[in-house]
Amino acid sequence: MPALKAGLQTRDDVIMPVVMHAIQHLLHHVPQCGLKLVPYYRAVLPSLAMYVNREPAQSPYDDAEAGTARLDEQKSINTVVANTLQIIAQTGGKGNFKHIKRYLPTYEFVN
Amino acid sequence: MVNGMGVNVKPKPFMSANAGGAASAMDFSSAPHSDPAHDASSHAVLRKKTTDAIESRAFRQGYQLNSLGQDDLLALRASVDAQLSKQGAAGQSRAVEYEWTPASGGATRKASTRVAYGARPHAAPVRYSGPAPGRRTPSAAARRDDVPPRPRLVAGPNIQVFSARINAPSAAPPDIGWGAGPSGPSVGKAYASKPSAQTEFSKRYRAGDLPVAVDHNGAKPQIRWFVKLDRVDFDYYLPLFFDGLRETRFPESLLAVQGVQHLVEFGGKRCAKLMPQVREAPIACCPVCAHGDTCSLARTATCHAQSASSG
Repeated sequence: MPALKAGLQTRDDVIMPVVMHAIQHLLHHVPQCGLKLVPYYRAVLPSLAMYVNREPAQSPYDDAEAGTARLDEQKSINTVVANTLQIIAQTGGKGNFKHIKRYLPTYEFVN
Repeated sequence: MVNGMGVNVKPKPFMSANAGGAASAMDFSSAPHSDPAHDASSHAVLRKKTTDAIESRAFRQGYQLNSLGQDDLLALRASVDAQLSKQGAAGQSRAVEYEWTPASGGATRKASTRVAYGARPHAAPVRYSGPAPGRRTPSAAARRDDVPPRPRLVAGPNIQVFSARINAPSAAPPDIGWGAGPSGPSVGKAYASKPSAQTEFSKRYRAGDLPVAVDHNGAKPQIRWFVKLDRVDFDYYLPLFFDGLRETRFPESLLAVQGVQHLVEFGGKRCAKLMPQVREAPIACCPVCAHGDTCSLARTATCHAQSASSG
């Protein structure tokens, strides 16, 4: 768990998707870990909350190529974050939605 | 050592009586000035101690050496050196008085460093003012009339030139990651990617402690385990591999990602040890839900959370 927290706190474009994919893989193969992850939402979710619905800072119309690349990168990270949150919410048990809403107030989960 | 009188005189060491103070370091009256050989041998010592005295005097007058600048200090030293060499060549002692004004523009207070050594009451003081003697290179300040020429020295046999840049340009601002365009608004520091130190996974791999290696036989590099996965100590290696996910360089990144995949797929429930158990709750039995002591969830916060939401 300290390893996951350290990996998510790097805020690195390369490292964060890798760590989130590892979380997805872990929760997919070992669903029991979803319950054990609930006490550690405080360590995981703030890092993910920074990337939820985050718009690119620069408009893609300024520089077409660089803006598009940045937009794609942003969308890819947003997609990974959304998938990770969905898996966390699915495996976290019955009452974890309240805890997710505590760190992600705008998060909506449709099962 | 024999002087002209034929009396064996043991030379006194320079500044043997001073207690390290700068004022007493100026007193060289006890030096045997009539012996040119002694002057030549102890010239370096005299120069060293004179320059030290000048520096300490400058400190006592409130000037920091950094604010003075290396050029000013070098001018001081060069002037002392020139006077000393002149004195040594003439073989006689003179009372030399320096008046020196720092060439730094920021200094408003006049620095009058008066150095008198070998002072005799009948010796006429020589006032020295302005730039230091020695080889000079013309500078931009020398062409202006209102500004006195700034002494600039080059390295010589007795001059040591420091290459200190007082106002060095600062480094370029660090890149804080995506979203921060060159023309766009700045992004908060919380989004900046933080470089991580070398992970424990990388150390263990470099030391050869990991039972994995890269298999280059396939079309894509894969990892190969030296032992069967049921013999792997999950308690030790699973946090280590998760720690290695932070690595971005080739061997460690591949080993960590694929190693985590293999361990998770094989380990199953053993991977639950990744999440360390929360310490035992103060109440062993959850009062809200029906879980008792036999329930393992009662020891975690999960039970209370679930019970609070369901009940």
